[in-house]
Amino acid sequence: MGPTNLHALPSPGAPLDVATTLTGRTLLVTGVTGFVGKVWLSQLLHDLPSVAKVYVLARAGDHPTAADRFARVAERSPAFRPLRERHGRGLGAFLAERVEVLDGDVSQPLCGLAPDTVARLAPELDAVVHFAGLTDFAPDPRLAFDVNVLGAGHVADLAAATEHALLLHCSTCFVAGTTGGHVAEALTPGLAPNQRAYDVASEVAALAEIAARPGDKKARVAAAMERAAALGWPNIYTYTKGLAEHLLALRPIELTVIRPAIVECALRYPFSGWNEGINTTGPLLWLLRSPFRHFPARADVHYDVVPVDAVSRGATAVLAAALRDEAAPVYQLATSHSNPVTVGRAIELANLSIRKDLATQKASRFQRLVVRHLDTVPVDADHEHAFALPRLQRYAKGIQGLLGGLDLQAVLPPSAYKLVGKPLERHKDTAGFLLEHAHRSFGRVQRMLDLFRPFIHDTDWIFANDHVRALDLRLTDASRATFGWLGDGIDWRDYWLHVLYPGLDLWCMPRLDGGDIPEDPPMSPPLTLVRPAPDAAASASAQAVSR
Amino acid sequence: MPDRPNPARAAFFRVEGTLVRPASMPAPAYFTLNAQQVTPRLTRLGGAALATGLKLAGPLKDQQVVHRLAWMGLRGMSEDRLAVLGDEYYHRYVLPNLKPVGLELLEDARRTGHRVVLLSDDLDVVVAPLKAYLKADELLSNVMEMDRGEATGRLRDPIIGATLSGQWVRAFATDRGLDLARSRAYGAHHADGLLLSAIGQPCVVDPDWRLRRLAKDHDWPIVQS
Repeated sequence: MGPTNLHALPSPGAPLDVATTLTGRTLLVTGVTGFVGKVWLSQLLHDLPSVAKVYVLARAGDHPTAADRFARVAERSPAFRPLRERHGRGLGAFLAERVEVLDGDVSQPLCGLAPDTVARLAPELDAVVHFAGLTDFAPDPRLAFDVNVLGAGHVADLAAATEHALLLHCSTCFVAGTTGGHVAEALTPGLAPNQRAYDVASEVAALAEIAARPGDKKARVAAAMERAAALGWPNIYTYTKGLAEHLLALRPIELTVIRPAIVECALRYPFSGWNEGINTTGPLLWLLRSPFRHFPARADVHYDVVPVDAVSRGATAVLAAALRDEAAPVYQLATSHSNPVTVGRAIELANLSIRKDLATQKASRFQRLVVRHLDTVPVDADHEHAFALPRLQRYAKGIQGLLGGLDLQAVLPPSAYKLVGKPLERHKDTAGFLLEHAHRSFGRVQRMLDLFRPFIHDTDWIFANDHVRALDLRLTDASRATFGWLGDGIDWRDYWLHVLYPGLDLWCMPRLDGGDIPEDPPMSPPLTLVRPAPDAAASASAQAVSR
Repeated sequence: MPDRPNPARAAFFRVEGTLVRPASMPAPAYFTLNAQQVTPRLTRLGGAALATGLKLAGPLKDQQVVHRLAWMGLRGMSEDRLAVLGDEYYHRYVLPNLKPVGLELLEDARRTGHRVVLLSDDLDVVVAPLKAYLKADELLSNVMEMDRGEATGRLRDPIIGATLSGQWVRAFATDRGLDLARSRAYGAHHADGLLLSAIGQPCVVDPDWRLRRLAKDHDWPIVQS
């Protein structure tokens, strides 16, 4: 098997029925404890229970075993709510019939699986679906390299060690780097986003060397950022994901890449509004809800959001096409091409969502009467206007310095100082403390904005999504109802006001404010997965592996 | 000769005055005061204030000017904001001000087999929920012209609330297959005079003094709540 032809379009074939194609298939999936992977697996098991078997590769993490960790996800995560509602107490048995959890780690060779396990999987695996990845924009390069680059390579090695499994790799649209404009659904290994030719193996080795450097994380970050910038990637996240794509494209495996854009709250599955973790829109919305009213962003830049269930449905449809050898090499699961929203409109919709939210009784009188009427406006990040953050920082520092140097005892007449000196000193100390706090807060906000700046200010991407739209047209009616492309039919006003904002408010904002995200209540009795015995004869004595 | 089906009968209701009491805050002023940026809120409010002044000042030959002036301040406002503010205005100023007498007349019209047609000089985003709430058959309201998701500040023709000509009403009736002679119309303002004149069964509800004089001259029924 040679490297995949990464520019070929799929030849039009017969109507694609996803259920028929996936029935009886055996899959291995990574990253099911993450946002997208979790929804994908839950929806797969919900809508396609006829799939033969899904091997879930997971680390044990803080749990005794990987199976315990997975059981916890299945029992408490809202992503699995539809499955729990359908199967109730029978969920454990349902999962045990279809899911086997493998204790593994993508950062280890062959994902940390023992040779006999790989040998067992080799003849039966039809596809490896790789969702595992580190999505922080500025992580320690050591971790990003291990998970995003090495991890992808190890998953590819695992796929290559099987008899016929293909690899579906989840990447990101933002591997397009800092070169904006129309981004085609293509992948040319060795061609960087800034159109510079580079040697993939040498670059991987160079990043490995940076990742291995001992000492301060900051130095590693700076070195990795320098390499990323030299090739046209805006941060370590897109650099490592881009490098992974190029690395995989050179491997002798059947590869299909899906590239979601900014993945946000679910439209329908597991239910409207669900989100997990801190994605891109959450922090931006958090800033828009703060008193900060001048938002450094370019109003005309596209803001490409895609609901998590659109990605999940798209991934399954793409997998079905790949299993029939009819998939395109790259699918961009994005909306900016066919149903675009600009940053300006996103800010307007955020303003209007906040306005609606603050009109409710949960807001204070001050918020209802004042804050909700002060909308945030986009401003040029490079323009030093009156409320620019660096200037606000300087104001805070300057006033703090003035207050610090103010000797009230020297300024006030002794009689006045005797009368009001002590309370004034207290107020002066409080003001100094608040100004110091404001100075630090402005700095934090500035750093956060710097992280997001490439996505809302510097670069305007329009991600082509012709492949997923063409695939949607090929689906049978029944498949389209469950796995059709959702991106084109989204009414963004409705989505922001009734799905995204309420979803982020419930599932993301508490974490940004330092709180906890609600989990679903524990099941009674606790969910137990029963691992099937190696052969059918022994199945009656299956061993409980959870809890 | 086969029987021809009878053309439909309609009941035209001018929303402002017959179904809804005047709000303390005119819709154009509410929209303008809630623009995204603070400066346009203040500068453009002048248009709405001038329009209100002209309306209160008395007869104006071309009332279209008043309406155009009133809504001009929305130039540059996003379609999203129009929709959200329209919904807010409806719940805050329209729904609480429904007139029981108007609702009774509307119920009677429906009971007697008339198609209910609402006419409003507010924007569609304000009164579309009212059409749904009252289960009206049709709504004719002002529509803001949009360009790439932003209001141009111009209203699309025809402008509702300005003097509706008999010719326009007849064209509308022909298009919808309505028998105007057997139809009803309810108005409250002088501007509704031509509409009422073109309909077989006109009626005025809490009319302004000019419409009251017209109603007396033509012997139209006057409903006073």
